[in-house]
Amino acid sequence: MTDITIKSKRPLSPHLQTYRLPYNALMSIAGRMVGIGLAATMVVTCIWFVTLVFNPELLAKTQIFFAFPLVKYLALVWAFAIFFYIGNGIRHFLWAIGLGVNEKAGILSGNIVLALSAIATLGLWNVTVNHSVSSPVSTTTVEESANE
Amino acid sequence: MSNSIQTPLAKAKGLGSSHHGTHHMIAHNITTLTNIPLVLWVMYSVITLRGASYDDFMAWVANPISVVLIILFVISVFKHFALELQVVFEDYVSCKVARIIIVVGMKLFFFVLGLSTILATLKVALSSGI
Repeated sequence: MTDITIKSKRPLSPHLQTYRLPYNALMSIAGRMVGIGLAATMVVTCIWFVTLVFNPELLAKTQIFFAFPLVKYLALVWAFAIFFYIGNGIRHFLWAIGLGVNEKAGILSGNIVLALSAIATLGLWNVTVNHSVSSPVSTTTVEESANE
Repeated sequence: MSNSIQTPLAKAKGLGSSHHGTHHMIAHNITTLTNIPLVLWVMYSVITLRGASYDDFMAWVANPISVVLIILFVISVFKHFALELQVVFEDYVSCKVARIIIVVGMKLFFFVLGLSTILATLKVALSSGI
């Protein structure tokens, strides 16, 4: 058998434009993209914090920014991404110690992660909407802990 | 190959695994677990500090418990993302020179930013007088 005939008999790799990714592959690439996004937000958050230490007026600007209706929802997307990434990380840890390494268990654990992330995000939304920003609760707790 | 005095085995030796893959994977999974309480604590703190004044916010930063947890958060999260992004770049950047430059550059950037964040936290803590 020549090289050419061997090559022609090899199966083609599934091409992304014609091949629909299965559930576990979609979750895998989604987890990776969420990870890249969260790494970017971590970088922005740290730059923000270092800047804030030297520019006190940045805090008020940030609070005005996060008071915009659309930004509020983006913050919830951010929270969902964090919950999803944590859940996915636990999934990867369980795979690393040999638990649930098959297609059905992968689909089940993926669905559990998605459901718990959604519930946690809704819970967070409930807390932030029902307990509005203007309440002085945070001020007193901080002062108490700072005085210890 | 025929011009060299080296045997084929000697040439192949050292080209295989560098035996650091397991350490990478273990460190990635451990930082996954250490990130969980630290990230949840930061999220909780940010939510309770919504609408706080600058002094309140900095009093939270200067709290000794906060200082330790913020520093651990920065180390754990940046270590995790450095390992995470290293794998991403190694998977998708095929040019070896570009890959090395990107991975080393990313790690140096994370090191500088993480160190800056830790020093900013310490600056607030040490100048607060608590």
